[in-house]
Amino acid sequence: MIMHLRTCGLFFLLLACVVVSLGLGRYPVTLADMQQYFGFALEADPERMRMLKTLLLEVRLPRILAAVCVGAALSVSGAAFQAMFINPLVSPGLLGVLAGASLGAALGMVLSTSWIVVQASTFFFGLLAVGLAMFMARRYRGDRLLLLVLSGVVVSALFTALLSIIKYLADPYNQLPAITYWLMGGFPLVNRESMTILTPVFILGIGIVISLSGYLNVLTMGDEEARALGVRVTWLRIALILTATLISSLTVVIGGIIGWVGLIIPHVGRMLVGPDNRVLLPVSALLGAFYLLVIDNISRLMFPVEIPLGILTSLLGIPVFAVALRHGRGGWS
Amino acid sequence: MEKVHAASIAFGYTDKCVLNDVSLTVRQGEVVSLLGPNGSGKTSLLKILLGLLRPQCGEVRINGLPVADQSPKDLAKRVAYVPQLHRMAFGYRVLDVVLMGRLAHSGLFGRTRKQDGDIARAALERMGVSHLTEANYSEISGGERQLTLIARALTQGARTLIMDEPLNGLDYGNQIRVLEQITSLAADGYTFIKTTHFPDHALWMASRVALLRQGRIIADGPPDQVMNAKMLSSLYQADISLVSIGGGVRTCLPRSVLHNAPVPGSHAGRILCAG
Repeated sequence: MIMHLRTCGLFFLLLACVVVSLGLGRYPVTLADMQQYFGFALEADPERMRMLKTLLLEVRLPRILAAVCVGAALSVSGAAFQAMFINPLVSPGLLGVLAGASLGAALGMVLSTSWIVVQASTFFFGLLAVGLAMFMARRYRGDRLLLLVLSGVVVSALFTALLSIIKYLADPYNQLPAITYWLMGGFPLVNRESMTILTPVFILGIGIVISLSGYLNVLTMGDEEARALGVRVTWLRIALILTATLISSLTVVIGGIIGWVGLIIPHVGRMLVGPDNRVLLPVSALLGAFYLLVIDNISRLMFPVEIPLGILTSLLGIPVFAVALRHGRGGWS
Repeated sequence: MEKVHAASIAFGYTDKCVLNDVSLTVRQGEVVSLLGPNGSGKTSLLKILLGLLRPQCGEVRINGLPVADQSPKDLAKRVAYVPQLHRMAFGYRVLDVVLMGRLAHSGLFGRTRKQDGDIARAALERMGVSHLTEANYSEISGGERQLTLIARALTQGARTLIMDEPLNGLDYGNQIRVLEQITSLAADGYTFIKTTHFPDHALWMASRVALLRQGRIIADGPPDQVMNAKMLSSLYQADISLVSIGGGVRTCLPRSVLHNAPVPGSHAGRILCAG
């Protein structure tokens, strides 16, 4: 019951944060404006309404949605991976999805000027890296989980090395800064069209991972025990890895590399509601969404120039993590 | 009434044969102890009975149905696995650990229902640990953890419990408590197949003993027929005596202990050595 109250509380906190974020920006939008706009008031000035529409629907809402989706997706994937691999140091990038997507983005920027091509290439290489890691792990006999982790490390290293080659070959005046800036993460390029397409995919992916959270508790018992309890371990793991990879890859597509969220938020969630994944996963999703939205507001408002999001999540995330570890109940349990 | 039947099981890896022509039939209500030195194939045999490992030859049937043909969920409703005492990575609530046993009965997304909670509570009550329902699994004692895991097995609805070293790492009092629970469940018709490193545990409460050596069953039957000093000594490659302590109860001891033991008082009765 208390768990449900906390989850509901977080949900309303997130909702309030979304509304406040809509009003934040260079051009002031008051709560009354929003009420007028979303309430379709008749006596409103049409000129101002058109301006509000551009501001809210074309500029601010897509960006807020992007922060919410990316934060939730990274946190849920991180929590699911930490349970699945029974390891507190695991983040969504474990199996190489972020390294692969980075390479994809860089390659796209060097080879094409079309934004759609860059996004497609980012997504494709993220999936490719994880596919390669899973394929490698299947080729060898031994502890499945350990082999997956090792393959993930190897594939990440490979794609990072390839990324270095691309950076080295890229045009240092135009392409290299673009690649570097993109890898720092952030949402300045988010637009309404891409969020209209991607938001449902995020919701679906996050929903699938959360709906499988009852099985995640059993997976933390180890493969044999889980199987003896009636779980099809291999299929379940493939489904979870693929879904988590899909949404993690999409986070790079819309926001570049945003580090630390997927590692820290599940730990903060565990401090709040304990380790039961059936509660932890939805709570992590809400916390991650809230956290990234707040950070994104800071990144676009604090200084005259926008600070890349990935830098802020790292700078702010590490102290949060240090505090979280200190207050954790004996390690991470 | 036949419950678990393993027929001429052979299992091995490319470079090593683990089990060779092992057959075992276990009837309902029996408590079977598998004894054998390290590496004799006990744990592999358990995993084959559970369907976790596929044997290269032979098959396992439970109530006449081949294990290999059943889905994990169907199998989990018949056979439960009680693992060796382990540390769990996360401190789940005891009730949530027991509720994992209901996954085999749940739908696609593994959600548990209200009645599942009642079944889990009843199982904890049955094992005498209902006061731990809300406790943190990682903070309770080893004996309580083992009883919780048995409760989880009961929650699965399984009538056959397969246990890997159920008393490993428990203190003496907890060993006795867990053994008593096993005996009481067996009287209710539950079947137990367990491995143990302590021949004494088999002597105390097993209705049957199977001795494994180098992947073969070398003896199988009631403890008083199968277990003697010669057999145990050859099984473990050590000098072992079986001592009758009255009332038809026997216990085993290393022979060196028997001969070096100081005699406490001149009128102390001599211990009778059998075998």
